[in-house]
Amino acid sequence: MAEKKPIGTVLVAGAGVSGIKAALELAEIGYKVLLTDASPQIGGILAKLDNQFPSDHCGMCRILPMVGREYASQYCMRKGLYHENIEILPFTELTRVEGDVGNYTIELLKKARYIDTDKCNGLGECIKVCPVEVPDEFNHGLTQRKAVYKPVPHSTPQMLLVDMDVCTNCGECVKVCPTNVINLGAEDEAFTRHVHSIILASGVKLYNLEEFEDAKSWAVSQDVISALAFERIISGTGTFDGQIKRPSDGKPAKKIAWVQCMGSRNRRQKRDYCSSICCMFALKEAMLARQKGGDDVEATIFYMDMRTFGKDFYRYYEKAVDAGVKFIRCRVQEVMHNPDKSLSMRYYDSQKEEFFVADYDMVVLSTGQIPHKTHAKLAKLFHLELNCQGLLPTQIYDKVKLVKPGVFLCGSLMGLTDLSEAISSGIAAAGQASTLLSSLDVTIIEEEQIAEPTTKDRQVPLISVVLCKCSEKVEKSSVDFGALEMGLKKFNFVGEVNIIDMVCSDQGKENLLKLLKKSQSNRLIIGACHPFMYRKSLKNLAKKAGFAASLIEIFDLSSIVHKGFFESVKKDQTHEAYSEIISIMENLKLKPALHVETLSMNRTALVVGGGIAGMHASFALAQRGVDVHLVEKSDKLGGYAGNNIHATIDDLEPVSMAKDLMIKVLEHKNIILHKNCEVAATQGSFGAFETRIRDLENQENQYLSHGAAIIATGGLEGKTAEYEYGNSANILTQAQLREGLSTGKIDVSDAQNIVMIQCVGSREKQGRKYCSRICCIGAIANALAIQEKNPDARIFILYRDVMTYGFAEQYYTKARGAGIVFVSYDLDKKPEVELVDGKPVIKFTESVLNSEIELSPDFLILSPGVDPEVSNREVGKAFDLPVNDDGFFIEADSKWRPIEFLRTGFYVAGVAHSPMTLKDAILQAEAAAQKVYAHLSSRKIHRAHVISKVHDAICVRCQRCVDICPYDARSYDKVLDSIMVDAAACQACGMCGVACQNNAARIMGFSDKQIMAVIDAKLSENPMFMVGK
Amino acid sequence: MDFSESDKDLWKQIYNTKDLLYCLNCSTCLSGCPASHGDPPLLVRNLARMVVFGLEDDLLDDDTPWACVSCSRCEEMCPMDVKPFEMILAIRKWQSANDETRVPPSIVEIYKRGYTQSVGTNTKLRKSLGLPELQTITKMPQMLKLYQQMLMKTPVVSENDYMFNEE
Repeated sequence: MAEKKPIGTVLVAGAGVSGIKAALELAEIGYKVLLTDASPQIGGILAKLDNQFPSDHCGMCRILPMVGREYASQYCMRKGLYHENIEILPFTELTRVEGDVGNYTIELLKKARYIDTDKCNGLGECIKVCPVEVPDEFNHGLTQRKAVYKPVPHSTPQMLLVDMDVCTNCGECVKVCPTNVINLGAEDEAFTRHVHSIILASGVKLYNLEEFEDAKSWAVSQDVISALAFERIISGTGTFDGQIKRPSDGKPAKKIAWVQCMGSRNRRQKRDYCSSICCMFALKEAMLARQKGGDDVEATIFYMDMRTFGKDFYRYYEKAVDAGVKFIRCRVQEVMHNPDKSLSMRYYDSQKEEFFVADYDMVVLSTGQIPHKTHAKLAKLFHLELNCQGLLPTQIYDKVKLVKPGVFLCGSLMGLTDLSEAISSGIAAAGQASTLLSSLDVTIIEEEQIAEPTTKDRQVPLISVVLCKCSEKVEKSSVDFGALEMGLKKFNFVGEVNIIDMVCSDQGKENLLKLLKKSQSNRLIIGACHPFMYRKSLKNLAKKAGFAASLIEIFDLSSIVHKGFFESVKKDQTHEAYSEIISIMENLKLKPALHVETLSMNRTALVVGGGIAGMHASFALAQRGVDVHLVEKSDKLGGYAGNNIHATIDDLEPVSMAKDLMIKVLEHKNIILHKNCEVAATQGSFGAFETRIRDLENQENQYLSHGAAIIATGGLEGKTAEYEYGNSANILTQAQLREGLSTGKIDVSDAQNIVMIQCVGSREKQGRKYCSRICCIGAIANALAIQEKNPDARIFILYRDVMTYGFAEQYYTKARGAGIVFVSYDLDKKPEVELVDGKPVIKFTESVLNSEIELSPDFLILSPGVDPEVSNREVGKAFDLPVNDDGFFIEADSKWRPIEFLRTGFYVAGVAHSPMTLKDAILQAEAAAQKVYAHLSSRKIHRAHVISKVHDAICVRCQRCVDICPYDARSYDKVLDSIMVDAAACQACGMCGVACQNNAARIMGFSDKQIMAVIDAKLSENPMFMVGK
Repeated sequence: MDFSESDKDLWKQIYNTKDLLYCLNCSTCLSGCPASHGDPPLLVRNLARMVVFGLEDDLLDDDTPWACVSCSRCEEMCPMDVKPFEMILAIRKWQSANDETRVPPSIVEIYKRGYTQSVGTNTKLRKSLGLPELQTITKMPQMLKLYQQMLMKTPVVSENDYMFNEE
């Protein structure tokens, strides 16, 4: 027999959101993932945040797989992550790496927690007796914790540890521990593993007041806090139960100020970069402060540039302005502590030419991201040199590819990213790793194929009850299993009651299988610990024994048992367990057997748009063996960037890059190119779409079958008629200038003055209501190019906010150092241009000196932003995909699902999503390809048991359910005159059931009858049949 | 403001370091500057802009650089390492070198009242903090007279005594 292939294994080092996303993506394909984190918990910074812009909600669970959800982990992501293919190793560091691409031996160091978390019940008796108190990192020192503590108070299961740095070794915790799991003499543990690929995701650190000398001058009071500490104050689980109070005395904070750029945009301290996230962070916090604290909360943001560069960021800013958030453009030097505990700051108003002093109850410092110190450590591990920005060196076009092949990176390790980029990069890194793994001689973890047993739901219900007593933990509990067994056996619908032990162990599972195989019952209840961890394996076991999956209930017995540990709650836990089981039985008796289907997946992908993003996605899929139809409207590939932009400021060459990509796409046997074609209409659902495309030359239709699709329609330079554009040869757009400079058609060698105007028709109510993200960097690139040709030219860039986020800040710094003059203007006081003898004369107010300037520049250059592809609306209509007011496609969730559409099976990449840089477009294309590959690869996709259905006879087609469905799973089919449910998209949330006035929208397995039975059982006293006790 | 007259390279004459060009007008230097309490206020950020723009005439006429009290806070806090304090000193030197008859008005102020900065705005704050009222030389005519006689012995005052007459 041939030797078994090894299972493809990937190390993901860092368990923040991007690392978790990467791990989930690979685990869903069937690869084995080791997910480590240097800290004692997983979740990174996001575990602390209750609310994210723009929804002001949480939503981290949205990164979990949506398709085949019953086969994946479904749980609150801030509490924990469970996936059978992911081995989670918190408090573990990567210490050594050996080997080469596709074959690495890694050494990991697992730090001692001093507590065996597998056996700890997490109730924290030890915490009560620990005499040591230190500031709690989770709440940023706003509260105290003990030496033995819960690193994330809300995680499940609780992962306690002892902080040996502060532990006094008094041993009190050891004495009280009911489960005997504390070992203060435990040691760190080093071990080695073999992996095929490595993804680095060790994230970012935030500038903080404790560590950095220069920030200490701000720490004049407890009421000067960091942005993350404010997040803990405003959190429902935070320090004041979500009320906004100042830490010093607990009084309500009504006047709150945010100070931006703390620890970033600082050349003196060698932190010449923008943290990228703080402007939106502060905006969100200011909005939340007003939402939660009431209209009398005064929120003021002190800023330099409001960097609202991302998709819908500017709209959120406008919302904040309308909501009454105040903005003051001044970097404040210091905060003063007043005798009445208030904090005052002095600032200068350039327009009023006056100084003001304002008092605040609380000052929040927007402490920015700084590249994590692990960069240097990682560089050493991989024998690399850090680049000039102090970051790990990556390949030129692929931000997620380390220069060392086989190693990828994602999240803020790439630079300074926001949440949506962290997620897309996590997917993209997983995509690169899976591309690599698909070329190696490795296999995936095959899903256990268990035939669905014959349904027995028409038989009289006979329930088998299995209770795991978990003798390791339960010895001291007040739950009397003997009495429970006696009590339950009295019911005639109970077939048998089995008390077993350690069902989590292999032996326990074997015992259980034997028991169940003998059973004559047709329904099953299992009581065990952590159902979210064991549900899938226990269900599979029961299925093998002949139980239908939908007629099995698994409930959390351990929580009830654990409560019986202590004298203080030593009421009758036996009865509580009994009552719980009765109500579950009442439900189970009424449950119908539900059937699942395996979705048949057409393993072909459709890519719409042959620009760089579309070509990249096509090639990424083709490389992994997926057949691709690439549809391009025009007669040539490359899109806007691939045909027009020869060079960018970061030394990329889009045109030549596109040419290379074109050759790869044209030569690949898996890609079929449809040029001069547009998409007309589509039919079908996830896994089996049929799309009609029309040849624009001969108007012939062609039908393409595909399982999923990527929309990469792109965009182009915006158009304008403002500032006398089109009326003078001396007024150009940035693109015209760039073209003219490279061809030599535009001669700047004699120019004395050149003026550039930013945000032409952008970020205003009458024009594009968004920031185009790339124009500031583009203008700087052109200005520097002019200066190289003519160092004597005086270049003015008139801007509203310089959007050089992240390390692009260095271009802004470079440009100023080169003598380019930046002048800000306000939207209500735009520059004025008129033509004198055919030449532009521009008048504007210089913002610093507040004086009028009139100039006759040799050239006036306009930055008219990025427009979406004009055909987006038609493409949207053809696929039933939403397009926003601006003309860009609307993704499922801007933070957590940035490249997916709500409609299952559709993905977006590149400028079709929003204006972005070339590298970001490539990143998204890679991520979209990965999402498609994950679905079209060999794993079977099942739809869920529990989905909503339509009772067609009583449905009045009002379509309320269609409007309300948050997953876009319901639609109205005109031909059939029926409401249809996309079984793959439905998440069984029940919204349709609430909206339907006729009770025609039903969630299978959740009938009113069942729910009422459960309520009745819970409300009745359920007197227990006690025998002889 | 007329840019046709301005000298793009004036900064090289005044303060020949590229550090100045990195200024992004964030206002850090202004917001905590003690001399910005004066009348007219010292606006360091604006001076940096005038140097960059090359507004030679305006800069020559500007007396505010002489109000700087050399506390160096702008230097400590400037995020762009413009070294604003060095720039202020450089402007003073450049002004003096370009105008031999220049007598900084701060000297007149010192002569008249014994100190340069207006202390009025601090009175309220001192009171709220429970600090005693400032005892300034203005309130002691005898001492002020002696002080003025002393100043009159320095060349910059005696050679320009017409500026220091009471009338």
